[in-house]
Amino acid sequence: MFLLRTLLAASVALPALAAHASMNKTLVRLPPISIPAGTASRTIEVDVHEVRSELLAAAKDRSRDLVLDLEQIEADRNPEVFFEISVGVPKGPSRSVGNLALYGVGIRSEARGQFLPAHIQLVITDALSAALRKSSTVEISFVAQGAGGSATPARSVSAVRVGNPSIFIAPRTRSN
Amino acid sequence: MSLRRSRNRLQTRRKFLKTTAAAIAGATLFDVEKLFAITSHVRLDVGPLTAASPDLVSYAKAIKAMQALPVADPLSWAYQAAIHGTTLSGSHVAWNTCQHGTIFFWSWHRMYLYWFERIIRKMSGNPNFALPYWNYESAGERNLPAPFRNSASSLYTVNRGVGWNAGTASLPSSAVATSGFMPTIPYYPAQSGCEGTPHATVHVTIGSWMGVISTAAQDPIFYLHHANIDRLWNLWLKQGGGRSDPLTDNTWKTTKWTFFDESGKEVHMTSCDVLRAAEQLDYVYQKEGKQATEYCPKVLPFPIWEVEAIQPLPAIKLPPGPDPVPFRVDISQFAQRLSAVRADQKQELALQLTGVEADRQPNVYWEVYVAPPGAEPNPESESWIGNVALFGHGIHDEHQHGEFQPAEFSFPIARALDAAAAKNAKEIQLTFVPRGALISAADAAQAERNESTLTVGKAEIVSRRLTTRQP
Repeated sequence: MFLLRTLLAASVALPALAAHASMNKTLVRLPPISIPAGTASRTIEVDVHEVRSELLAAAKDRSRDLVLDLEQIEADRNPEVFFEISVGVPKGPSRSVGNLALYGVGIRSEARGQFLPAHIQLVITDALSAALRKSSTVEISFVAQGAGGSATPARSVSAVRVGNPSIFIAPRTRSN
Repeated sequence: MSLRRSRNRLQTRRKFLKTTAAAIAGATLFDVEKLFAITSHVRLDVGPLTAASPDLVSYAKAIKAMQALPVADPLSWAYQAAIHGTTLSGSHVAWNTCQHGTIFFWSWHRMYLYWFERIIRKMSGNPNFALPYWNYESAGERNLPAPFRNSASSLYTVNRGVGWNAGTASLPSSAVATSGFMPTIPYYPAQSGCEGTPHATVHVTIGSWMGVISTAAQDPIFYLHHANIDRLWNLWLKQGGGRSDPLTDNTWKTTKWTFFDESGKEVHMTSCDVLRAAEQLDYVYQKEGKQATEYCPKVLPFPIWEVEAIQPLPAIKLPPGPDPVPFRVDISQFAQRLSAVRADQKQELALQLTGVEADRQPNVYWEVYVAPPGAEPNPESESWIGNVALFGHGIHDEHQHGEFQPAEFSFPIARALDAAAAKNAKEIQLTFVPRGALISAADAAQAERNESTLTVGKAEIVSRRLTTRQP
């Protein structure tokens, strides 16, 4: 159904995102993503040809959005980088859709009391529809980011796992 | 100095506008006062500030003083940082209470900064101090502000990532973008978006102390970063278009958080206390313009009667017919108690009739009188205490909206009892006089004829006190 080739990534921990969960329709369930320590950049490829037309239709509908849902994000230690996430076509152009940064939530060694995994949701409507117009396989990239001015590329110092990634259609709750 | 002058100019301009507007508005002076209420603290963009700027001089002075205090002192630098998070062992009030990944991210940090800022004013001796904000969205402000890189200053810490104190490190544009969350309309997703970028990304990118929740607030730049996050809350809300604080979320509104004021006294706050920074907390951000104003709906306690029975009355049954129905009540046993209630300003005496019902519509109402025995019913006198009229409730064959409900009546009777007491009556007479439309004398008897038996399940004289109950 969909193909996961490579993978990379990082995450941030943010809750209270389930308000309209019952109105969401999950179209693509991705296998868990794990990003090893030392990673500078990782990309996963996702074959969405079976749901491509539905994704494109949703992307055209101004009352709906396509959302990249990264649930169950965790790292054993502080990765000391954040990951910029992009969506595009393989070996082609991509668009940045947001960041995954762990601070306070999702880091096991920093848990205060009960450990809570992180959860982020990123609107990918424009980026995904641009990619789908060219291909039924899309790339999701996670590029480690540190402070500007460093001579060496940023690398995560801890493995990061995304236990439950998916793409769903949700009612649009943003101004255009 | 120049900043202080510009702040003074701002106030002078406000004063001018206030005076002018008041002159124009005349009677609406009150509104004008409110509109131009002077906010004495302006949180400035740190970008143009230098180490000699009054707010940074005061901030550095206060940090030094706070760092000299013992950890257990709530005004100490370590204690204040520990409220956010700490690696120190031991348990102290409010330690490790920062809110991340919860519904309180924006509001908790606003409270935290508010009390912290008051402490800085006290510890610096500068009552005008306002916490600057780090406006890193501006391309010229992506490096750590220079005054924080001077190792001789208390604004400095060695515990920052590589290049920050050297001035070579900078925040990538993707770390400071607000375009991810600003378009979002619902509060919680917008807050979560802001908590990710730029909040978490800036923490992570500076790294070292700032990168870890339990050490971040030890770095003086932390508070400027969070002032900006706080400013972004205002800017997000100000866009309108359906954006609002979660004013229907009772948990968000009522959960109390603990902090310390500038005298070291424990204080408590809820999100409702921090909705309007200018009005409630006396600060604005430089260049932010008019803040959005949101209000927690004030849920007033509702009034209820606290009722205590004093004297039961005989069973009351009003048969069909045109005649008044009197009942004699011996009040001698209760005279003292009745007097005591009458003397209490907070209580009143009432005749309470509950379980009032009839099989059919009686087609009359009853005037109710409390008077010395033998007194003629007179609706102009103090003995008339009210009317019993059934409409809807209390009529068995007319209840069409679910289960039958008897009627209830309650009439103040203090004046009537006083009149009876003035005549030294040991008894009172309770009289029910049927009344109908005033028509010709010939038809009056028919018009004022009760056509159904009315029964009162329970009649008693009560004392009642108006009190309130929280919803």
